[in-house]
Amino acid sequence: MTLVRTILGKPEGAIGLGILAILATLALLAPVLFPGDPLRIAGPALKAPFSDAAFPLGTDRLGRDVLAGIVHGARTSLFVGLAAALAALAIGLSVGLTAGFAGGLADEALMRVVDAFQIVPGFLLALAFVSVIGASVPVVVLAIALGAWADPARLTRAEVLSVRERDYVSAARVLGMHPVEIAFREILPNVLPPVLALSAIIVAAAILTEAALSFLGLGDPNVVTWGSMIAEGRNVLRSSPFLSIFPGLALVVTVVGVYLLGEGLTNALAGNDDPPCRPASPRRRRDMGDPSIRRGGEGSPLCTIENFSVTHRGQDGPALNKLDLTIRKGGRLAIIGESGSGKSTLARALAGLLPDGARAEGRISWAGGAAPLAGRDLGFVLQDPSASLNPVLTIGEQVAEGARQHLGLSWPDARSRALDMLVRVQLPEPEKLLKAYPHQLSGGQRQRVAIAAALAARPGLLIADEPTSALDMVVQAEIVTLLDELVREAGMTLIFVTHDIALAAGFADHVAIFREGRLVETGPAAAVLTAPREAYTRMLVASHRDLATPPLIGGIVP
Amino acid sequence: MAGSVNRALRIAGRRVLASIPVLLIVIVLTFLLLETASGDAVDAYLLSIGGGDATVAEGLRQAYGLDQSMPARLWLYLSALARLDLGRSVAFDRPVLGLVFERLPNTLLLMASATALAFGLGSALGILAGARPGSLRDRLLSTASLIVYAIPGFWLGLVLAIVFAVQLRWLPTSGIETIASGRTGLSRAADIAAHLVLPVGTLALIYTALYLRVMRAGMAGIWRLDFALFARAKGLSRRRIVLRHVARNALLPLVTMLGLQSAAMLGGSVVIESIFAIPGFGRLAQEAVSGRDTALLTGIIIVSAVLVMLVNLAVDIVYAALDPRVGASEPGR
Amino acid sequence: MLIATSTRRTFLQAGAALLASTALPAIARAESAPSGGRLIVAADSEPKNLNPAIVASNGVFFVASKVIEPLAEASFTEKDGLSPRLATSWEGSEDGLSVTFRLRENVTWHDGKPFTSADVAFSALNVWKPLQNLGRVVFAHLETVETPDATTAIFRFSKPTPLQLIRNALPVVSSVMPRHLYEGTDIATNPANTKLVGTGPFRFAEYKPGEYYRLTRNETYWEKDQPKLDEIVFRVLPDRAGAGAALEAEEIQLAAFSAVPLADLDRISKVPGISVITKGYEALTYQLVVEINHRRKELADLKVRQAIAHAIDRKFVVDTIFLGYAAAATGPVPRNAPEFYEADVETYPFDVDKANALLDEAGYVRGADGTRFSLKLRPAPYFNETRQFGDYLRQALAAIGINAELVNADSAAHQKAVYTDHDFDLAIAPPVFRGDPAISTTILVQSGIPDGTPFSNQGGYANAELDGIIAKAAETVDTAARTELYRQFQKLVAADLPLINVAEWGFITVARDTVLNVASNPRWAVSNWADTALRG
Repeated sequence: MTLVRTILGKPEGAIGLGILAILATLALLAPVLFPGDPLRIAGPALKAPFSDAAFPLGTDRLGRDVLAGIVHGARTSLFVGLAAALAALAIGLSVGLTAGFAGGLADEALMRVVDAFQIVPGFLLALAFVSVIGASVPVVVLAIALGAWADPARLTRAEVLSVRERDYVSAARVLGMHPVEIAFREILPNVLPPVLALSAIIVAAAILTEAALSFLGLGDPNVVTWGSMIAEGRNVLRSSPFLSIFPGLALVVTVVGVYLLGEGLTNALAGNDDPPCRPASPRRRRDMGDPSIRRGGEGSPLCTIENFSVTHRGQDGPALNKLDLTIRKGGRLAIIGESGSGKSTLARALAGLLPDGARAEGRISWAGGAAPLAGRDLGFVLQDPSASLNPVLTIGEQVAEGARQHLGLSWPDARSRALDMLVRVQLPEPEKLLKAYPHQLSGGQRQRVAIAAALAARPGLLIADEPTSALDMVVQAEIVTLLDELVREAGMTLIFVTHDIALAAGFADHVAIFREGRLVETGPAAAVLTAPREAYTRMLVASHRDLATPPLIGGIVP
Repeated sequence: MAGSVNRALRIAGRRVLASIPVLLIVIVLTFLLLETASGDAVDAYLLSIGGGDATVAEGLRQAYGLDQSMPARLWLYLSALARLDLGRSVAFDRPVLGLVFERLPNTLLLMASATALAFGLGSALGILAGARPGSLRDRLLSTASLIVYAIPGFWLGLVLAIVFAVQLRWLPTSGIETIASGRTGLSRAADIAAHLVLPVGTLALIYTALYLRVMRAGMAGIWRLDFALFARAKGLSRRRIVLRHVARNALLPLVTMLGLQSAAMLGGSVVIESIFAIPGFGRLAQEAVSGRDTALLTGIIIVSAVLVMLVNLAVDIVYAALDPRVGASEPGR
Repeated sequence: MLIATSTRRTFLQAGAALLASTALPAIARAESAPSGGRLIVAADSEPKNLNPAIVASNGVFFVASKVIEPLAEASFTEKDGLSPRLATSWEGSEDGLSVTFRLRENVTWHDGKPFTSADVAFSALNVWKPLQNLGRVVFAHLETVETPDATTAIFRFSKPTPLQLIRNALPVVSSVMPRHLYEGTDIATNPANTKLVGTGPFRFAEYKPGEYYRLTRNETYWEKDQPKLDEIVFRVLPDRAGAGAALEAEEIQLAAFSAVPLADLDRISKVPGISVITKGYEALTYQLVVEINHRRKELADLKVRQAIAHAIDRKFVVDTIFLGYAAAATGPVPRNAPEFYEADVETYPFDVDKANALLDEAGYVRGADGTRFSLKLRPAPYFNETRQFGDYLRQALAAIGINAELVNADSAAHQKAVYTDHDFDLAIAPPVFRGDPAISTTILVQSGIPDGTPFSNQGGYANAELDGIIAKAAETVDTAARTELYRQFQKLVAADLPLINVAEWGFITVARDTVLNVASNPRWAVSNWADTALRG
């Protein structure tokens, strides 16, 4: 069961599973460990805990064994929690599937019912239900389920709606599959993961609700539950607090276990193997003097990379393998390669933006000594313009903030600078744009904004990691032209990462060809592309292929 | 900002219309539930006065219209509701509307204070944790919040009451204000505030843990996104990245959570009000159930539903204000 | 409860045996007690109808008895065990067909109108007899009330009614209502039922639902120098742990009716400034009773009932459930009613083997799993102790092979299930003995009671001999003969077991030492507190 192993891989999942495994075992073994009725009067009343081996946790007001109560109580709590959650999920899934699939009037009607159950506080509903019908374990389970099914129903329906239009479902329909079969075989497996993640919360809530109901005196008096133990212990809270503390602790531990397991489950199902990116602090420098990048004339070495290797966390092979490369100032360097060639890793390494946990060896030395400061000396543009911009902040703010940070401008000054930048990237109506939000722009416009933001503080180096790959052909050309002009005007160095050899051929001065982490060939663009030395390069040029398409056969035979 | 006001009004209007069928469903379900109860409001009332004979019971039933069939009673109730008349409580012998509005402010005060406190503290701590996911600080805060959120509210309330009210005598044990003290103005506000510290604290502590986790989880997710990388690439100060970029986006799911939790918090107030003897809505609901008082219980449920709807509406409006993507037309020009 | 002067000593001895010994506050003489102050008391319920003339229950009396007065109140020391209130003397005729009350002069209602015999006549004929739960029994044969003058009321009965019964019942059934506010109105829904108007030492000032009741001093009370207090506030604290905490935190000064749980008494009595008082409830004896549904074949068999009685360890009940604040019961009349109590009855000592033998004899053998048969057990939810006894009884029955299934229900459902629907096999109830068996005790075993009457015989039990004794005693005027009939009654009940009496208990008051004159009469908590004072 890879799922179990994945869950166990993380500490949360492991601890959660461990806690629940222990509890489940205790619950199952309860009749063996503590035979007989846990509610029977076993000894003298109100014995203190840890004072008598026969009653390790003491006895309660009537002389009943507390430890037996806690272990047997685990049965009830776990049973009620699981049963109520299952019932809630069953009802919720059925209703959600029906509503999402059926659509139209049925969907509307069902959703109004879901609304009704979501609006009434779940605990109040359970309280009323149990008070009126009578307190027994099945009734409590049903009461909790009634208060809890609405959320999974809503979630299921949302998932169904998003999955319903997907290609594989349409394909199944075309193939003539019966709707119910589609529901079960195509839709359900995709809907389950988020619903399962929700289930942990429902189980935990069910356990706590049962405890609260018992506490208020609405539990089944024929079984022992942690909530009723706390309720009884309440009468003697001052003189014998342990009667309330132990079942309370049991509740907390159980619920913590459920939450941890739920978290482990969520992480495992979402396939998040890499840890949350711990953002390393960007390099900082005190002085605000002229960026060293500008020192030296055209053609002088800007950056020398020696024997440089990078291995990402969790990967076996290196992403960059013993790279040697010199980058010259003032030129346009195109780094070309297929995916996995290490070109993006190099771009990030140069910018100082490697992900947390990546191991770097070797050296990168810069002209002028210290490495360039992101934002001030170096601008970085990402591939996907719809993702680079913060959706909740205005364009103006996002362009201006770099200038404000590095040039020490006030906000009004930074804003007028942002206006300038927007003009320079040739965006129409720049005054309006200042107040606009990213979602109001097209992909090409957003990329222009990103470029404007990256260049706001007048850096000497611009690194663009596949800046046009997410755009359509016409826009690509526009962006490339724009970059060309900007770089030329400002005398900046441009490092342009791409998989499109034709695009690179259009404007690059130098090219560097990468393959599987190694530098294959580098040199002036005209020379390399017209008369490549390496077979790989020859193959690339000859096939004039856009390197984005994966090879039909693994690898090229030279 | 005429645009956003219009947007808000449109959302509100649609909500009100959509909510009418929902309320109807709620009312019918409540009626059905109490139909299955053994004993009606008159039985419960007679019990509370030590018994009565059949003729007295008959008379009371007639007076309250309880002798009619369920559909007839339901119809009567709905027509009265259209006139905003919530009926009369058998148990208290008063109009339901008056009872409800007498008790509601206390619960609202409790919930609003707890929410405000939990939101403020939870988001602040969540930002602290989410600023560096995986750091020691993050792990400590996450673990602590997980444990606190697992604590049953009634248990926490008991423990806090014992420690702070009885042992340390710093705070009053129960009630909403000192009885018949005749205080007014600021002094009365201070008295009520002192009485609310423990119940609000109990609720707030648990919800702080929840909001901390939501904020932290949101931030952890956002760190993975490109615009966080882009912000770093712009060389912005750490503080600005954490607050203005990451946290500002993580605020959105948190605000949504506020709306989702409002119903749960209302339910949770039942137990808290019981422990701290706050004369509020939750206690009134308990009394309605034990008194089999259909009119009162239905009235309470309706008012809770309306309350939850209003809170969700407010949350949606706030969300729309925070997220410019909401309600916008297609991107691009 | 009545204490005939000759048996006062016996009573005090019996009382001492019943009560655990704890520190008693210094009881200063009422006349010299300081005046003024506000007493804050814990209240655990908010009765919907506060009128004690209609609802003669302790929950109502707790608040209302300070405002509305009866004709006479119970007393430790005075003649007939009664202290005159609105009536100064009472005399019965030889034939038992009339009772003459002399009423107090110069008494005014809180709204200024004078109190006269017309108020008594109105209350008796329009409220006590037809509407009051207990009055229906006591005044069953009341025909008319003559009022020859403003201070005389003559009750005329159609059948002989024993004066002993009337006297014993006065504190409970004779709350007088103002005729001028009730005549011509619908009594049950009259607003004066919640905004009380009476003649008592305190006026009804304010009721804030969910929070408190407030009473203020009646400056024109008929007793000089009384009341001592300026104000009484009944703070609503439904949560029992809350009452103890509030007392310790000095937010309240008094918690009566065992608002502080028994288990906390030991600890709280050691807190400086707080005392635990067991006196003051002698006339309010509660009984722990197992009600039996005789429609069930097994339970109709006397041997089975005897077996159940033998299976109950009364010592455990008294020591562990009541922590010693109770006494084992032998029959339907408690020990602290020496006027009627009969000790020479059949008893059922705790003997599991005997119980098992009886069941075997009766023909109910154990099955493979050790169970003979199953029963539905409904403990009344009103008190913690009844619930705990339910838990215990389940165990005790399991020991003799009876599988009892507990049913948890709230008050309304329990009431309906037991007394109307008869949906029970065994039920646990806390009836009250109110000084005379005829008031609320014989109804527990009498047959022919209509369905829906709470705290009555709804188990389908019918014993013609017992019914005969009850009917006869209700009409026997001669005190000695009547008492003798009730002794027979107790013997018969103990022998035939229509129900099983397990224990009897009084309540506990916990108060700050600053409260004076606590427990000054045997119904103290539900009396008028005119002499209660605050020191300092």
